[in-house]
Amino acid sequence: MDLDKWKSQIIRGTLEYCILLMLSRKTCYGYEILQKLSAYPTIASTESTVYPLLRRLQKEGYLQSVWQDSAEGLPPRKYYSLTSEGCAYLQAMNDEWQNLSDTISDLKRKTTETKKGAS
Amino acid sequence: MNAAFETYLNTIDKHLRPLPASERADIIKEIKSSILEMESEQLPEAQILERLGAPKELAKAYLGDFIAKGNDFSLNRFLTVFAFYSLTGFSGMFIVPILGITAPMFLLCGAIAPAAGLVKFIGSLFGYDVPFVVAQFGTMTLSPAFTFLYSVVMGAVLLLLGRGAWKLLLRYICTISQTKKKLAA
Repeated sequence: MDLDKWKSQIIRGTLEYCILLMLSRKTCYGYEILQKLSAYPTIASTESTVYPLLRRLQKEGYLQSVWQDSAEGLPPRKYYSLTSEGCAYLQAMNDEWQNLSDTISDLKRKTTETKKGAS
Repeated sequence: MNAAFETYLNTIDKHLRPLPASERADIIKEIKSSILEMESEQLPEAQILERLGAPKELAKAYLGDFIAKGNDFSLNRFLTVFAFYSLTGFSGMFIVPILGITAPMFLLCGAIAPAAGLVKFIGSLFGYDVPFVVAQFGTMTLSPAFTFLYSVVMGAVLLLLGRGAWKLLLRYICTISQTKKKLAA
């Protein structure tokens, strides 16, 4: 059973969605996104995954960013937020996710019904 | 920020060389910011470095998209382009001149043949046999009227052949320019 491989594929496919969801609620800086992700063991990621992903999303026009030189000796932070394209993209992703989730629950329901019918 | 981190960032910068300088600076600034955040959380140096991973690998993660876009050298791409130009160059050496010459020639002959048949036919009506227009099958020579009819049919066939060759040439050129565009994209 190669569950780890499957799990890493799920993360690769959904991390983008998770980050957009996070940013739709509030503007975040890169390290903050990493911290928030680490609260969920399933999608916890490191710099080498998240930063290039943020960069790509920005290049594709879904995110915008701005550097803020924080006061009190804190390091400068790069804040990311959704663009209007990003919001539309997230909306489309929400719909797709709903479809997928409905499909899975439908398949699961049918499986249990078949099992009941057999016994 | 201690020397170990400076070295780490410099190594990343070196591996990011295929990227434009401004983007490279921005990437380094963001990683540096991450390191400073972790330092302010009192994380030990070794733990920070472990989390960031080998500098070469981290740089590669940024380069991944860039290389996939084809701005950098890749053997596969080189072979595709190489195959395209060899094939195009070689086929073009024959196809373009052959079609380029035959197409107008077919069209020209297609126009001349019925004209010559007409001259022969009109000549025969006035009792004059035009000697340089002859339709001959083996030993049988067609009469002027049949020569005219035959020349019209042959003329039409030649015109069709000429048109076909011309269209083939255009299509060949279109296909090549489209393939080239696709390769450049």
